[in-house]
Amino acid sequence: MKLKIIKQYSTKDVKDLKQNIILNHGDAEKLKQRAYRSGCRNPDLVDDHVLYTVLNKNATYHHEHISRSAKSISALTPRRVELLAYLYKNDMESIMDLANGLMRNYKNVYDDLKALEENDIISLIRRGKNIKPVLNADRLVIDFG
Amino acid sequence: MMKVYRRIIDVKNGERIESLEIRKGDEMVYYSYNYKIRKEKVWKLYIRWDNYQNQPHIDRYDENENHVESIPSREKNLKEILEVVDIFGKNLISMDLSRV
Repeated sequence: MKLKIIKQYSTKDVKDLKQNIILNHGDAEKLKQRAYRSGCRNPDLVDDHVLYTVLNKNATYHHEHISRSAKSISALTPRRVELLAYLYKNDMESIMDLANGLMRNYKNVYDDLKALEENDIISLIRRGKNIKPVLNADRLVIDFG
Repeated sequence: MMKVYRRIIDVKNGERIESLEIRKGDEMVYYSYNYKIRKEKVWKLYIRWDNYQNQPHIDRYDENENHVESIPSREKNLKEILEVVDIFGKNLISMDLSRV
């Protein structure tokens, strides 16, 4: 049994991804030079350089996390699924905003988010004083194969 | 139109493959398959199969993720890599990868 966490990136998601690559490496030319120089001594640089190059040519981007652990599936309690559905429809700037939107206690929402983050279903991104919950999936598939 | 597929596949407890595939139609333009082991809550790269600059090869890394060696290889695909990891698991670290 597998849990598939699937996300097809929108044009905006791809733009953000490209921006993040450049933020991590300075600029595109520096990234290219460093990737050529280091080769497989620094494989992340190589992948980022190749990825950035094709995303600039309007490639589409599909992300999938396949977990074979039943623990990932058990992380999906009814309350957490409700939370994920809410997050899918509403862009939340902070955990407090999410707790208010769901009309739930902050600590319980925080604990649920941490459990979902542990299973890579969401990411918690620090933005100044806030922590922004971001959904890593637009589909969750339980595959019995 | 090119398509990028990024996958994280938890193969066994504490072992995963992180892959990046770029396809143009049916043709595989680029691939990298990274075999990682979780140590003290950090995923560390040990073996990587890729075809960077159209040269399919295997790279091996030590426990500090320093590059140890590069071995030429034929083109690989994700299905083959998953089979190899399923069969050999952590034994891959000390195996002669040119025979795998």
